[in-house]
Amino acid sequence: MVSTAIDTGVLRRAFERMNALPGWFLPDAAVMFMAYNQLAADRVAPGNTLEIGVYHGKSSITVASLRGAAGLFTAIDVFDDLQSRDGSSHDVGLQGVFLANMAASFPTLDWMRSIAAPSATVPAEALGPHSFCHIDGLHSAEGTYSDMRLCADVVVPGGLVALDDYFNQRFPGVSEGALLFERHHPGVLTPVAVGFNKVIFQRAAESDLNERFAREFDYIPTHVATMWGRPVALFESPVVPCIDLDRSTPHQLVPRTESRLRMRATIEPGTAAVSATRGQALTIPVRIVNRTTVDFGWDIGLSYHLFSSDGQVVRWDNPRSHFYPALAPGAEQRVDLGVVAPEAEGAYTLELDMVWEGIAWFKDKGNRTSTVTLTVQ
Amino acid sequence: MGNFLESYFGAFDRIEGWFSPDAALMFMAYNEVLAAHELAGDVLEIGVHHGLSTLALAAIRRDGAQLVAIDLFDELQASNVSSSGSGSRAQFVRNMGAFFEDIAFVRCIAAASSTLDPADLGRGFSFCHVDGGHTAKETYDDLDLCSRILLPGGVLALDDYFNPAFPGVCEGAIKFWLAHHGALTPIAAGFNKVLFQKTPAPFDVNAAFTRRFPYIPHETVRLWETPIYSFSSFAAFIDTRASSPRALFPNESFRMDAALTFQTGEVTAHGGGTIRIPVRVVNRSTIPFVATPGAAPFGLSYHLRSDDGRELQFNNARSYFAQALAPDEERIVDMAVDVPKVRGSYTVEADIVWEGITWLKDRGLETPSLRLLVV
Repeated sequence: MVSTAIDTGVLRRAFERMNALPGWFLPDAAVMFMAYNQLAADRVAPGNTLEIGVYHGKSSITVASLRGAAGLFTAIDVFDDLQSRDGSSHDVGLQGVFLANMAASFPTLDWMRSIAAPSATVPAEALGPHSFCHIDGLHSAEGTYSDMRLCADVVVPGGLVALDDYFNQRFPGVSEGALLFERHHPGVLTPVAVGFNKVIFQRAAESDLNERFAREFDYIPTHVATMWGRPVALFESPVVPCIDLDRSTPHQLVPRTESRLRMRATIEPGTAAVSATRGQALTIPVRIVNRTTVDFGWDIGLSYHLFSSDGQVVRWDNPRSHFYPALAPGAEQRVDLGVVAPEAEGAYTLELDMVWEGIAWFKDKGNRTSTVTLTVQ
Repeated sequence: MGNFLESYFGAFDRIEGWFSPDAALMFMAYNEVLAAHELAGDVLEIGVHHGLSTLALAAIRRDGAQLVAIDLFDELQASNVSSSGSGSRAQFVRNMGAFFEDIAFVRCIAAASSTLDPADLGRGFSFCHVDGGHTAKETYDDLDLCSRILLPGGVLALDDYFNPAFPGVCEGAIKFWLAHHGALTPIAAGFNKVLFQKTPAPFDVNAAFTRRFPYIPHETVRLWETPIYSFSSFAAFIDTRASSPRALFPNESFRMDAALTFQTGEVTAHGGGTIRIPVRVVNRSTIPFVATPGAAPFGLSYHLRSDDGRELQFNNARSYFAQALAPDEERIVDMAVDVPKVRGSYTVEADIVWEGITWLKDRGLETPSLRLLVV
């Protein structure tokens, strides 16, 4: 049994409230948090949640809503009011602003505790076990290292730690601190997902978390990147449009019925047959129409499978030709497919296919391919 | 080469590649700083693809210098383990030939950079651009190779350090830093690139940059425990018509201004919490007001004063322009205002901030004020 936590019980209202607050947290990041928290809950019951660096409470609304029915939400922030230019400080009351914003989002706050202190001074023993932590505090290398260590200490095995701004040019210290943490504590926190300015790590990671994500959230498009030597899910497209905001709760996301992703493209070669010398590089013009709901960016390309005249696979995986600029849903583009002729003379068949790197060949998802005959002399 | 920049930037929608005019101009500016200190050698690029960024390198090299272009090209794509672009020799040569009558200065090497040694390349390079394999190991190896062929003080540009699609770049670079402390010093970041300088550097490159390009704004951030310049915009400040790749001149028509008008009179609110006050914003600058991750964002904010005009808090909540406001466009922005917890009368003075760079009030913006009554 878990708490729905948001006052109205629906995500839409919570997102509207979040969007009214200053800060950088995207609703897409909130959905990513909720999706992984939902997966982790299959193995680890949601408990306490923690946020380091709450500012006005924009992301706290989400992190608080990820706690379990009996869980606490802990907010750690120095709440230091920004200063006048002459250096003098006037207590306008950032902690008061945060508390007021949280009070406007939830009917009660008796499950929340607010710690006004630098996170580096808060001992893990004072916090207890947590199922989800969000680090958005000091963005220096030292601060990030310290916060990752604290969260690694308090998060339960199988629990999640989200880190802000790992890939932000304005805050290079975040990736440095995180990589130093991995160097000194290898394998304690394992990256599982990257997107919307966040990296999600799992303590004592399950080997199949992203496989389960792909099964349970097959309507959310993700890619694959390699981080810290292992595959992670990479979110490059907005995910909020995939979610039914009226029927979802922070603990149970529901897809919009029309959001089931279809891997479809029209593939029309400009010629039916080409000839080449052995090993020759040539190009074949191909008209492509994007019939999916996502852009064809750097990781979705046109390629081909090479078959001998008797239908045997000579080479399945071949070079990709990419779209430039990225091809939007519904749009079409002529792509010059780069082909390298085999070294052996003979007749071949090129089966033109689209590939989503790390996800699938479009053919395997039911998309129609096209063929071109290749004669090597 | 009088109109090179205009022709070159005009070709960006024809030549395939992930490179921007801002990045090209950043390369050119730092190269100009090097050249002013008589540091001008050969140039090199790992991962040329169709030559979009190679053209910039070719254009900044000193007369008579060589450009080394390393790529798997078509013939070795099976070795492209990170799927980081597929080079085409024919396209590359065609694109280079479109801008340079004689491309004898280009030395193409069709090979994985990991198979190359400094002896294959020479050690007289003043500028290297690493945009090859994007795994941690490939990045580490390319940094190692380039750090050994650069002249002291020479610049290395690394692609995609902050790109979430390629986490290996940052990992490989940081591993290199930890293993070769001090071999390369970071100096700048912007437009998907990080610039490093080979040590020992004969001069302070960023001090020289500031003297030569005082009109190009930057934030200062720390990378590898070193303060570096972080750029969000470059092209807006350069007169590309008057400039050449080796001599950039400022855009004299650049301006930064706005018109702000509160859409309400006096506001009464309870203490604590965040309220929204509508402000009409007209962008009278030559650049857009925009807030995207990784670049210094523009935001609408305010300064808080007491009723008698004393400044209580200069820095306050920002309402960032997540949706860009283009030059001459206007929009009503609901400005987030944190209501003080103490009852009384306050003055809210609206202003535009370019984070880490400037307040527009400091550049002459007329800032409107509104009375806030806390009850």
